[in-house]
Amino acid sequence: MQVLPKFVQARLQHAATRAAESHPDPDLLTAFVERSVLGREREYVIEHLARCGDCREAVALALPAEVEATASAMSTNWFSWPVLRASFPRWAVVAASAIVIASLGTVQYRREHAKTLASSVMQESVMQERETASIPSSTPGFETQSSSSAQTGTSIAQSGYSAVRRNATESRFRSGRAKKSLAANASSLAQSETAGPNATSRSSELAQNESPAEAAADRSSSDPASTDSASIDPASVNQWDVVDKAKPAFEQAPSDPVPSPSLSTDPGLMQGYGLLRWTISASGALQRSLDGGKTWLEVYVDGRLAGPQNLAAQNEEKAAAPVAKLENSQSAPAARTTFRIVSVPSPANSEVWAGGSGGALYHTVDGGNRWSRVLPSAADVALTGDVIGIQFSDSQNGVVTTSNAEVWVTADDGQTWRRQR
Amino acid sequence: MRAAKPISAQVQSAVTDLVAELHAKSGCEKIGLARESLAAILCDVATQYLPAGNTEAEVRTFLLTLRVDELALAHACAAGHNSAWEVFLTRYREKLYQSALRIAREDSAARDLADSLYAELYGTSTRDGERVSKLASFTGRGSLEGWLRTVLAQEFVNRYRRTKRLVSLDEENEDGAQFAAPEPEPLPTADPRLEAATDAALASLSGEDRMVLAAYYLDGRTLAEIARMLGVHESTISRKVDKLAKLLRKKILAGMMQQGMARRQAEEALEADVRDLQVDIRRSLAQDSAAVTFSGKKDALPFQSVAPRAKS
Repeated sequence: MQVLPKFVQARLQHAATRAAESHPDPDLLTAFVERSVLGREREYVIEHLARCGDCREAVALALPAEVEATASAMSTNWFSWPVLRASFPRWAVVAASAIVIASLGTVQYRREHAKTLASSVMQESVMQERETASIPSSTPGFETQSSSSAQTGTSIAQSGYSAVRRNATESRFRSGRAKKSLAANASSLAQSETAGPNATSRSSELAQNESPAEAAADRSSSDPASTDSASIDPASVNQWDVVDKAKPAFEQAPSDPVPSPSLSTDPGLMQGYGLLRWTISASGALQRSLDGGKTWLEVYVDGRLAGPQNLAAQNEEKAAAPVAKLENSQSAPAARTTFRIVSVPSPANSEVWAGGSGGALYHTVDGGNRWSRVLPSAADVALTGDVIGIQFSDSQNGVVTTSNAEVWVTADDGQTWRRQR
Repeated sequence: MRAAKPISAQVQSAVTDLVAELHAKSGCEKIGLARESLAAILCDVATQYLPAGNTEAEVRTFLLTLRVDELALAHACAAGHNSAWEVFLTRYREKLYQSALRIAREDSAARDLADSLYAELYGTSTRDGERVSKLASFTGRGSLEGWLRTVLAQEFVNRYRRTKRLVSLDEENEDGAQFAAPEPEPLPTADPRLEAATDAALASLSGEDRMVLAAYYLDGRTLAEIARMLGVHESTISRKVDKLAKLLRKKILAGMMQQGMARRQAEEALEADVRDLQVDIRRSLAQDSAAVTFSGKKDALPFQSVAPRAKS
């Protein structure tokens, strides 16, 4: 991290001496952290915080406990650096890094190639999403996981494909960050083991018995939560094969009735990392961390930036150039759901609820890979307003509150809802 | 309530319009809060936060963003309704203690902190012969749980100050100079041009940028903590701190050169104090920040001996 000359720090603090105004009340500070203070009021609070060390301290101390959930029983740290450092000579680390970089090129190419396919998949799933969302019924549509063998095959392929892709992306991110330290080298080696097939085979030669890649594979195959990836044994199957199989299967995806799992996520990866955490970015995007909060990636609830506004925008589009339009609407910040709350009912399972602007309420039971939009409705009324609060006392019983003070209650995990009066 | 401002017609009419709905939704009946009481509370809250001259629609929108159920609960407790207290204690007793433990990080101190807040919540302090519960000041802008945490944290900060024989938040408005830490020793090599350039560069930053810098460099907060305070990514903050430090440097150099310094001279002036990085900044800041925040003197402070933390 950059060093700030001490003189500059002194002046920074000197500026604070001019702040003799009264402190914002605890209500406002709380609302600020909870992001329900906007506009000029927010500027006022920020300006005060810039000057007032006490308020900064109070705000920092009052931060809520982090929303934290272990993906499964995987929280044990199977991946320990000392083992890595001890087992591999330095040249192996360098070699592995080089392999990662080489495989990145390939992966990048595949990714580009998949993009066009991906967008058509997305459209498909958006269409589906719209159908689900627009039916006002007391039973919100839940997208069930596929059971037919053909569909399972698709998901395996997809998960294998995206696992490789994601790992590669992450390793690039990490290796870019800290090239100098040995730890960083070890990190990229670690990444390479899960990332690239070349690296996997190479490093398993190096590590006699205790290859972390194998350990990872064993874990993920023994994990009951991921039936998809459990059905293949990554330790014995070359991952590259999986990817190669993945491509043809992936191409069939648009015609597949199963909504595509969001392309940027996959179940296989989650088992590899212990801590699963959720947050919402300042811009209202839903984000997930698979490594206990070190890196965050945006999660798309329906294969793209989700939300009713999006669907509406999609309706209006004349679809002259579908791909280009898709890109446009993705980049337009106004046309997407601004998430305001994410809630993990019980830390022990992978269920997550997320809500936001325009009555958006999404639910996942597999740690964020497949989302279903839930529209609480009862008799002739449906939820309106922004979802600002989600509280589940257990996996069945929950309360959703909205910005216009509606309170919706479910006692069956979101299947049916009752509006509280 | 603190609101001393007169209640405007817009507020009055918006509250009248919405109170029935909000009263029903917030479950006031169960906790014994009458509709008129809720209306009065809502008027107070709206008057407290909204600048005069808001339209009725704006008031409505504001009222709808409040956490009315928690607002009602807090005020029903403050008014002494037993059923409300039952609900409050069931919902928050355990959480309150856990929060206190996280803030104080030590069991007995946490209990002490939580107990003193309970006393305030029940209303030990009296005003005009009437018991005043701290819950009466809750306005429903944020969650009640978050509010309780913030109040605990403020109390903790106050106590911490007291034990350090410094000025507390309460005493701030009175004369705090008697408790102020000794004046920090001035930096010996302060070039007025460097000072001017630095102040100008800092002033050009947004409030958020200055807050991030202060939290990171002065308070020693972690990137993760700052990220959570602002509700953004840790990586965003990391990039921001990096970028800001570089930007400041560039701006200060440019500022000094504008005042007629040669580039090399300007760089030397900046570098001069980077050398002694080993100074324990946390220790020096623990005193300095208090002195700065609470000493009555505003502009007369000399430069303080504040050293940057060595960062990897």
